[in-house]
Amino acid sequence: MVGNPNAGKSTLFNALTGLNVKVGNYPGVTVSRHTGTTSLADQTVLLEDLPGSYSLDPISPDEELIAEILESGSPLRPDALLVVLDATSLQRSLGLLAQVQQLGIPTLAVLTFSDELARRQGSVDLTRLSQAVGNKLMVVTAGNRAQLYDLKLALTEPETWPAPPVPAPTEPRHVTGWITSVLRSAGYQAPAVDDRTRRLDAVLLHPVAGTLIFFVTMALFFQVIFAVAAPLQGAVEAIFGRLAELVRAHVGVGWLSGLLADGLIGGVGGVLVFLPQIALLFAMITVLEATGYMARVAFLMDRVMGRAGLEGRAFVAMLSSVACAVPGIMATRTLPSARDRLATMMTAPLMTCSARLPVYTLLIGLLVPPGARLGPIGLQGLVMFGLYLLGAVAAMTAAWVFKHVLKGKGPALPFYMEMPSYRMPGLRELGRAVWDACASFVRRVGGIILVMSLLIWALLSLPVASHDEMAAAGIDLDDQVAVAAFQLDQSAAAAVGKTIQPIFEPLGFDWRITVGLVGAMGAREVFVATISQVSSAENPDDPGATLAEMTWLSGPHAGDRLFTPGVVAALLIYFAFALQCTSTIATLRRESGSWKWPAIAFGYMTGLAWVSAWLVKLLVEALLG
Amino acid sequence: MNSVSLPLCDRCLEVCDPQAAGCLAMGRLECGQRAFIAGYREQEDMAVCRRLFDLGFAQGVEVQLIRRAPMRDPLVFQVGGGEMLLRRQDADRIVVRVV
Repeated sequence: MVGNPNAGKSTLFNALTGLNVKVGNYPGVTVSRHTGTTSLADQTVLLEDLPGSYSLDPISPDEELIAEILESGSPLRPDALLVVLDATSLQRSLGLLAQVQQLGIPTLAVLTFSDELARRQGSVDLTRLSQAVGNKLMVVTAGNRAQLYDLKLALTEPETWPAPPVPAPTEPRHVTGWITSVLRSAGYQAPAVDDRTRRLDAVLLHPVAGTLIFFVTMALFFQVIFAVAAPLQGAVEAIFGRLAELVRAHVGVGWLSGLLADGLIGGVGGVLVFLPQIALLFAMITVLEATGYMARVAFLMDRVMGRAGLEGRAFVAMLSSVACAVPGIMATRTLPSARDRLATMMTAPLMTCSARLPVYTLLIGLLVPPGARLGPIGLQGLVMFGLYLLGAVAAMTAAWVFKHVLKGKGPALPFYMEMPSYRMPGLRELGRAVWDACASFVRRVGGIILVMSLLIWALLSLPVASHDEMAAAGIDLDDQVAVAAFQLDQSAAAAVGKTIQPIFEPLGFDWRITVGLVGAMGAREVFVATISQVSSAENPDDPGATLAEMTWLSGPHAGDRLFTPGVVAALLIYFAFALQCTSTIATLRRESGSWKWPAIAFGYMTGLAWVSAWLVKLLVEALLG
Repeated sequence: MNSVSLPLCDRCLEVCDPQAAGCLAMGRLECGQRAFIAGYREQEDMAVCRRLFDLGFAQGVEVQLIRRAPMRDPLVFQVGGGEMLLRRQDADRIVVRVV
């Protein structure tokens, strides 16, 4: 299937294939590949939904892909082509059909949105249009099952489709003439300007009112992924927490109950906990896309995002990343250019996500006394705001750098998009988008997250410390916190933490902090729990009090306070920039189609984090003397 | 490049000087102003112009600037029955003749 973006191609594809769809990536590139099957009687047809395109003349790497697939001799070359023509912009659609006719592949044209054409007082004679272009032409309006059945029937016999005696010309002057003559002989009455859309745009794109409505919409959007998803996620966590408790209570063998409760159940819970956010985000993105408001978001935000070399639509992905980078990276699917998509997904994890909040709260509590004020504003809140701002600025700057690195050869790509008429989104379409996003996340990313969380569990809990060892070390076996602390101290993670500690020495991190950093690879908020375990915090609800008193255990600094303002500031900056989230790494792998991009992201973010943390530590120490 | 895209990349477009009498770069239209496309500004690589042509900005077609974004960029044009959003720098590659 080929067709202009917004021509109703995906809707038709979904209607034809039902749920028999596979979403993957084309080999080596960040372009999703949608394939599916449709069956009629004993015949099965494999359909592929090629990326939406206005032309076969490629100006970007993604579009070269389409040309390569259609090349004769290509292993992916289809037996026949469906060209989707939008009845409301037939002129433009016919230009693409003219190019397709050059390919020599049996071609069937499908006319969509003829109901919309009629609503806007336009008309076209189908028989004469079919004669004029020389291809078989069928009309399909969304939701019309009889038309869909006829189309399926036609799909099983492409050998009967007529071909034009001579393909349409492609030289600009000639193709314009061809389109004009086709439209004339089909008696095409172009649709009137869509009054409803014009009236809505007059308000929604008004310099003042429109901007205001935009900010309110985005605030609501953000509020939903942040606040509405939170209780749902809490419920998922509570259910899996209960399950883990049950396992711990009923499985006697220590290491096995740990593996089941913390490793397996914790891991599965760690995958499913993302679903409420992903479902809500994709429901809202689908509504924005289907109603046509997404194009207006791009219009209003393009100038701002353009500063970072991105386009307006990247704004939604960046905003979503403030809740969590995982759905944020998935939201980059709405960007048609692979280059923009990569630049956005590689930098979205720099936005301050909700998992950083507990860590920030703990560290800011150590850095700034609760009552401190700068004029009327509380200093703690101000530091928090500064960190959010830092994340946004860092993401935009990094995106700008990536765009320049990825630039490659050729002219800068133009940015263009159709401003579609406003439409009501269908419920089926909505359900489908939410289902697709959740299913592909669980299937493709879930496995990686599960394996990684098992790995981190193993690091933190193996080798298992025996009761004899604990008794020998003088640990009271009834003191659970002390037992946990001893276990962690003996674990492989501690060994890793101690091994990598020299790397973090200049930042002032001792091995207990680096163990916390290892533990945070599963999820950043785990840092708070790990660090309080290592420090044997008597009060896990307020680890801050114990932490403030912590001192270096050995080495040249032995006895000095560990969490000096310089170290706390360095830790804050480290958490702001480092890619310490295996779920994000897994999602990057899935969405970019290779391990190369997550590896680069991990490298540049960790490097950036280390250098900035070191500089900030020096700066804070210089300021405080 | 292959047999699909090669002939399309060879397509030739009408070059036109925006300084010519009665002509204007398309991005300089006023809101609501109508014009006919006269041609494309001469540039080293015409790939972007060929794409603008495929988007419906063909020679002889009537266009109208509908609105500018709050910070004057991007622009929305009425062309061939639909509305198309372009950035100013891309719109300026097209030369129009004001009616």
